[in-house]
Amino acid sequence: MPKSNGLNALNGLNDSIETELLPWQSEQWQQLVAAVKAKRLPHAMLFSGPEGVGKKQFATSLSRFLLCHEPIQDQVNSKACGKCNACQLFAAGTHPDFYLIRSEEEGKAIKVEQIRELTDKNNLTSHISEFKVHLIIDGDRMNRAAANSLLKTLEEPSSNTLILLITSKPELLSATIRSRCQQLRFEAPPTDIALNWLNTRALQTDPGLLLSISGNAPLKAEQIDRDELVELRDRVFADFGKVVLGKTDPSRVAETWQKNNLELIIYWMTVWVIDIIRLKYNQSDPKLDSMDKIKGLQKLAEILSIGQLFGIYQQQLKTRQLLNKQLNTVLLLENLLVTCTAKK
Amino acid sequence: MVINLNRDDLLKSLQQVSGVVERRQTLPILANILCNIRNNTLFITATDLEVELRTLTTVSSEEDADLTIPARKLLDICKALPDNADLSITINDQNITLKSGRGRYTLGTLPAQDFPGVEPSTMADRVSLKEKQLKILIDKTQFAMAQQDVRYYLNGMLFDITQKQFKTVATDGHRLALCQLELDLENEVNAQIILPRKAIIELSRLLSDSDDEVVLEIGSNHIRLTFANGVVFVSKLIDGRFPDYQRVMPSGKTEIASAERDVLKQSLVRASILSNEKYRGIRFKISENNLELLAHNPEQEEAEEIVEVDYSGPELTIGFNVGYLTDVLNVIESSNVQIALVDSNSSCLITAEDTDQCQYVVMPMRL
Repeated sequence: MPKSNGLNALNGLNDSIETELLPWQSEQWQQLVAAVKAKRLPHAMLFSGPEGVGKKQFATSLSRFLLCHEPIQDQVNSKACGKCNACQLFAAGTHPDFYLIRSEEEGKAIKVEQIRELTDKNNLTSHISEFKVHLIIDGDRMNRAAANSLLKTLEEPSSNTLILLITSKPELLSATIRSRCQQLRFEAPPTDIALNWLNTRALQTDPGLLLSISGNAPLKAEQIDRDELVELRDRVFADFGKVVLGKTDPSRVAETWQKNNLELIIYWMTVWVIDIIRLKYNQSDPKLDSMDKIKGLQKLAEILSIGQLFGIYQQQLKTRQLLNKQLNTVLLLENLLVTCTAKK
Repeated sequence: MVINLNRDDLLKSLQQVSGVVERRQTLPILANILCNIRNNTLFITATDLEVELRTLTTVSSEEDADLTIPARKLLDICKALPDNADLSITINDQNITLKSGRGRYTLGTLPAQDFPGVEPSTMADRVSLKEKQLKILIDKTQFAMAQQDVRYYLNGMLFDITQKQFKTVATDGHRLALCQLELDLENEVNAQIILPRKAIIELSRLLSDSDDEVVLEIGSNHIRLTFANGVVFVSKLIDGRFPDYQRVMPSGKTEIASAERDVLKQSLVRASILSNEKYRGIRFKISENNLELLAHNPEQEEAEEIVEVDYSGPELTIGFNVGYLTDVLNVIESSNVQIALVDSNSSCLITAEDTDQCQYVVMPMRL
């Protein structure tokens, strides 16, 4: 049985406390380091971009750099020294000027009490470093009260403070929050750079396949490998095929899926549906994201109509938005899977 | 390595710092106390990242050492041990073993370098005064501090220190308390800092009525107080600007009413019983040598009290929140108080009769 929470294990900051800069982030890094040097760093930033491209790792590196007592100031490679007291405390996870906020329970919202605590800390002077950094992971998880109580702090920043919001779904943040932060986009790196990086990691699976099933997000690919989710994908594909062909009961499949990382499962399904649509238009030389499943996809393409495919696609997007909204996930999945069943 | 110490000494130090140990424990290490052993002295430090408190006690130890120990558990064990028991603590890599009599306790430790202490960095200003003086400055004003106000700079107390004068100011936007002390310092000092509410409450617990010196050192981010017995208290400051309190001091022509403090206080307490529970409004009707207190509540119940005052100004009617007045009368010690009034829309200034070391401003209420 693969580990259930899959990608979300990445949330453990300890994994991403590696402060090695990821090769595809150097542009953003240079930009921010220059801003720090010129003392033009904004008081609040929003890091957005798909999951698994290293936003958290980047934010951690930046926090560590800001808090370091003797950062290495180099033309090309400025970074935290890793030796001073501040860096030591940071590595131990006890740096007093670094405040991390994330949902306390998996899948739950960030609560207003957590933001109030941030505000309290924000109003006090820093402890040992010159800067204070507040890092809010998955900022879109803030409930309405939490988001509203953050506004005041975002609006009247105290000196030498950086509030970092990270999200893979910036559209879910309220416009009032977004407009008060400077946005920095993180995109999935080009395939060759990502492949190069993945080749340096000890992986069990073929990096090319991992990359293609993770939407080109290298850290996500690594996570899929670590949690052995490739096998899960195979099973999900088999189930999906059976549901489309009407060979199995959608509600039973929903039951077996619900314990897994649904975000990932729905992402995969979406990719397959898009691939099937591609197959519909181009049978001779198709370019698919899931080349490894081409046989199965071709079979499905034969029985699904274009109209129905777009219907499924719509439903998938809707389901993705409704995840993490505290709805009954089994019913949500069932609803999606029923849409997938081929119409006789 | 082994250190030997007395249970009572350790218990006293632990109790002193235990109030600071973080209860909610966002970081596990904050539930621990930092122990530094230097030359047969054990320094115990506790922090909740807002205030830090360090005490010391003598121990006998052959070597120096640094480690952190779970505070609560150590304190509970010490409390439960018999008086004057001898303790020996053996320090291992991951834990300590505490032995006393025939008991043996093993407690887990965390590395000392992970403990987020404030470094003894440069502190710009230095002021020394007597403990009891500082105690007065704080105790006479702390009741007026705001609590969880969005104007975060009010959730604390202003220390306004110059070479000649030390002022403490606290306000919640409705009333203000100011206490001042004349100083004669050798060095030049010019500091306006806001101490968080929590630090003030902790400090007022720590300060005694003694004549011992206490040294204040003020940096850009911290204040450090060193007591004569070696206790060190460090607090973060509130990063904000305190409002200009001079502007709210009633100035210009005021009429002064002078009343016996106890009599006025008792009358206010009685009358307040029938004031509106939420707003606690009470009406002052003041005429020559006569002060009438009127209170009524939504149930149409009424209270009326007459207090003899020394007043010769024009007749005046003004409303106050009675809670603010009794707070002030509780900290004034002289037998008579003076209330300076301007008109029914302006704040009043309350002082003791004999001195204006402490000044209290209370805003009126429209009733």
